Amino acid sequence: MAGLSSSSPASWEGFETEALPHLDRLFRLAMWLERDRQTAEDLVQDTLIQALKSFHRYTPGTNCRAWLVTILQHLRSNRRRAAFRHREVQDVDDTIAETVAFVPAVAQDLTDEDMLGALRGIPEPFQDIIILCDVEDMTYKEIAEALSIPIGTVMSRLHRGRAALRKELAARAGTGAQDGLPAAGSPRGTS
Amino acid sequence: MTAECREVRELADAYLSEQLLVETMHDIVRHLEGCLACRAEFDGRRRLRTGMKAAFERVPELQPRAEFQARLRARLEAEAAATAVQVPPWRHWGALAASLLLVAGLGIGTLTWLSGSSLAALARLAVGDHENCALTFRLAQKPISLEQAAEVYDAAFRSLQTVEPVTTALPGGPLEVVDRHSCVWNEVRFAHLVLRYKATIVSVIVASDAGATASWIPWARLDHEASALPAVGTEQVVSFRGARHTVFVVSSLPAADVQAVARVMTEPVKRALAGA
Repeated sequence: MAGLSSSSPASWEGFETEALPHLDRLFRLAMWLERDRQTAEDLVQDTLIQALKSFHRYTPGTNCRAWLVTILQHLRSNRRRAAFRHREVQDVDDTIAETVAFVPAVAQDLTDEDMLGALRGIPEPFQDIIILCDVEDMTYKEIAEALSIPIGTVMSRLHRGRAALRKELAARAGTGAQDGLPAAGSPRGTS
Repeated sequence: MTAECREVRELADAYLSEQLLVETMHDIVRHLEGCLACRAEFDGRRRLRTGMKAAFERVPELQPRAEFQARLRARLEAEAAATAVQVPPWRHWGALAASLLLVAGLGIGTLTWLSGSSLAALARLAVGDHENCALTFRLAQKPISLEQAAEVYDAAFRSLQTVEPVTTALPGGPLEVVDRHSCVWNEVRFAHLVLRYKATIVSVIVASDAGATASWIPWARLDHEASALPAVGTEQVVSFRGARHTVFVVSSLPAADVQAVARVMTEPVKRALAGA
């Protein structure tokens, strides 16, 4: 099996120090993406095993979390392709672009439910970008690599996604809607 | 809204992500200083970002189970052993013990192994913080004041706001305290006193025992007197224990100089932590 060896410059201790501290955040991302605890646990486990085997390729001092997120996204993408015919997302950028000309102001008192409910209410590609940028603190370049999309698409989706998010927040403030937290049994993209 | 406002707002996302050139960042700061409307707009966007991040960290539905963490760690250690990684025997024992506890249905909140290796792992993190905070700023999160950190994370950090060395007159010249703050490296929050001695930066890094409970870093709970640890790269490390905290003195100065700094910092830091 390719991977670490006792003579490799990488080591279990290095992996333990560099990669394992990101487990919590990696799981939160997986849980958000999959909306199912068992699927999220499987995804995180496969990601870390893959990372352990490839740890000699990780460059110390670079963003280990971004490296792990890239592995997670690639694994997830492969799984989805294998599990069912990949449904191409419609041209979500163009669709949303027409609907967010007006960007409402951000309310002062936003609860966690407001935030996550509104995020769940916008198209998935926008959710992904916003989470990787705002929650995972990844750079545009790192996001582009993780999602295998051009950096220009990252910037464009981020801009439009944030506008859509604000519109959704404003709409929810008007209706008092409160949902969107991950629920078991409804993985994204499979309903 | 002026044309400049429109231009500035188009760059707002990149500005908040700190992904613009320094000159452009400065241009935007200058605009914000004089434009109330754009400042409110930027504040709103910032609030949205920080709120989103906080929501992710707080919502219980998104948090991993302790059982899953323990099982995964055992699996990874087995995987590492299978690929001939040299895992210390005590770690296999630790994984086995964790599994047995789980089977017994006791549940594990945090895995802790008592070992000198724990101290070494923590020392590497302290050196990472020294190098990526004090020497070259490459942290994912901006440092906050010790007061702010005390409010939210560790009340004992407040006691370090006024701590001073026993003497600032060391044989090699004056010892200065140039900064105090709290920063995060690899998910572990530290109190960080930045000192200068012989024109070289010396970090005093304080890690809370409680800070490890949210991370995977094995923790050293064995008390130890001030002692030199093996160098990490080019950095010399001296460590000592204070009340509920482990303290590291880190610098690229010769070992004798780092020990000299540690000697004048040990008692004041211990006293401060004990009184916190």
